[in-house]
Amino acid sequence: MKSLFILDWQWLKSMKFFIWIILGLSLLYCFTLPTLGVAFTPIMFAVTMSKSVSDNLQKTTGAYLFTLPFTRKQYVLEKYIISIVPALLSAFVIALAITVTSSFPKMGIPCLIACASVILIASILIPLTIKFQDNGMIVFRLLSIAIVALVVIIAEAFTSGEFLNSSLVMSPSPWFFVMIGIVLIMILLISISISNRLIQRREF
Amino acid sequence: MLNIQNLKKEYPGYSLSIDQFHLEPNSITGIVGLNGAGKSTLFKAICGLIQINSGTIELFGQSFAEISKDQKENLGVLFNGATFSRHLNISQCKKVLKAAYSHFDEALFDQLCKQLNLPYDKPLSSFSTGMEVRFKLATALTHDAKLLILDEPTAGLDILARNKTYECLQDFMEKPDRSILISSHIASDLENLCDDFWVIHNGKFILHETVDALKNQYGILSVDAKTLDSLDPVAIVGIDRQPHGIKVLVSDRQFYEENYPGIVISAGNIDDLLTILEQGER
Repeated sequence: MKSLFILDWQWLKSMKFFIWIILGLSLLYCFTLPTLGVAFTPIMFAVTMSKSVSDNLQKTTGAYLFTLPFTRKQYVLEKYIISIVPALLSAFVIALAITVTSSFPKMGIPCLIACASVILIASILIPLTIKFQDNGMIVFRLLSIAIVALVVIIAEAFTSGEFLNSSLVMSPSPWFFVMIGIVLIMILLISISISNRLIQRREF
Repeated sequence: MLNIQNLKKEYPGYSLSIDQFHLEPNSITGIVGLNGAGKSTLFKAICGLIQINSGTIELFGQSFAEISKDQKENLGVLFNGATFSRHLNISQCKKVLKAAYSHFDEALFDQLCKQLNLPYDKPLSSFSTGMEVRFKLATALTHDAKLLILDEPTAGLDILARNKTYECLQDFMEKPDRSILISSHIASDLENLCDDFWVIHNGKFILHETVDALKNQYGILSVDAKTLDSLDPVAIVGIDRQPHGIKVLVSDRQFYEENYPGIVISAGNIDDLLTILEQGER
C-alpha cells in the first residue's frame, strides 16, 4: 500500500499548479470569508483526489497498476485515506490558524462542517468514480463544488450571533455530535463496501 | 508454475475457452495467434485483471478467485499499451516500484535502464514506442519475479533492441525456477527464445508443440492439387490452398521426404505454420 501513497504523492506533484491555486484561494478566503477559508481547501482536496482514482482506472494505466503487489481492497482503502485524512488535517490546521484572530466556536463549527463534508464527498465521489470514471464525473464534481457553497452558507448561519447564543451551541448535548459522528462513519463504511464491490468487478 | 483448467471467459461475440494449459518451471513458452485470437485476454486472466466465468487458474501452486499480493510479487508483467501514468518519469516510477516490491533490485534496475538507454528525468509521455517497451521490460525484470508474462515485448523494437531484449530474458532465465510466458507476432522471438509454443485461434488452443519439433520434424510441402490427392494424410496438420499453389503442413517431414522425393519440402517455421492453420483447412 505504501507504493500507492507514493504514486498519489507523485500524482499530486504533477498537479502542483492546481494545488497552489487552491491554497492561494484558501489563503485569500481566510482573510475575506473565514468560514469559506476553513472549508475550501479540505473539500477541494477531497474532490481533487477523486480525479486520481479516475486516472488510475484508465484502461492503459489500470492494466499495469493492478499487476503491482497490492490487493484491490488495499487500493480502495488507500484512496479513502488519501482523500480524507489530509483534508481533515488541513481543516483543523486552517481553523486553528484562523482561531488566532477569531473565536474558536466561530471557527470550530465550520471546521466540523468541513470535516463532515470531506467525509461525505469522499464517500460519494470515490464509488461513483470507480463506477463511471470520467463519464458524468464532471456533473458530480460540480455538485461537490455546490456542496462547498452550501457548506459555507450553513456555516455562516451557524456562526451568526443569534445561533451562537442559542442553546444548541451554549450547551450542546455531546450525544448530538456523537450521533452525527456515527452517521458519518456508517456512511463511510457503506461507501467503502460499495467501492470494494465495484473495484472487484472492474476489468482492465 | 501455472496451471489452467477449463477456463472460460465470455464477451459479446467472443469467448476464451481453454481446456488445459500448463507452464513448467525453467521454461519459456510462447503463445502465438492472430490479433484478437485471445492472447492478451488469457494473460489478463492469469494476472487477475479480468474475471473469468468459470474454470481454475493455479499460479505458483495456489488457485485464486482474486490474485493475492504474494502471487503478484512473483509476477513480472509487460502488457502492450499498459504502463505507469504517463506524467511520471523513471525516477518517480523507481520510487513506486521500490515501495511496491519487497525484492526490488535497485542496482539491477539502474544497470538495465543504462543498458537500454533510458533517460531518468523525462516523462513517459515523451518516450518513443521502443523506449516505453524497454522501460516496461526493466520494470518486469528487476524484482526477482518467478514468472514473466510478456505480451509482445519486442513490438516496435529494432533488431538491435530486440537482440538486447533476448539477452535480458536469457539472463533472467539463468536463475533456477523461473519461467517466461511470451506472446509475439515475430517468429524469431518464439523460435530463438521459446522451448515450446501454443497456437491460439478464436479463443481456443489448436496446437501445442515444442520449437525443436517444429524445426526438426514439421515441414511445409509445396504441391499441386493432383499431388495433394496422392499424399498420405497420416501426418498432415493443415492445408492452405492458394491460387499459386498448395501448402501442406505436416508433422513428420522425414516421412514425406522419404516417400515423396519429388516434392519440395521446407523446414517448419512459425509464420508458415500460423498462416496454414489460420487460413487453411485443419
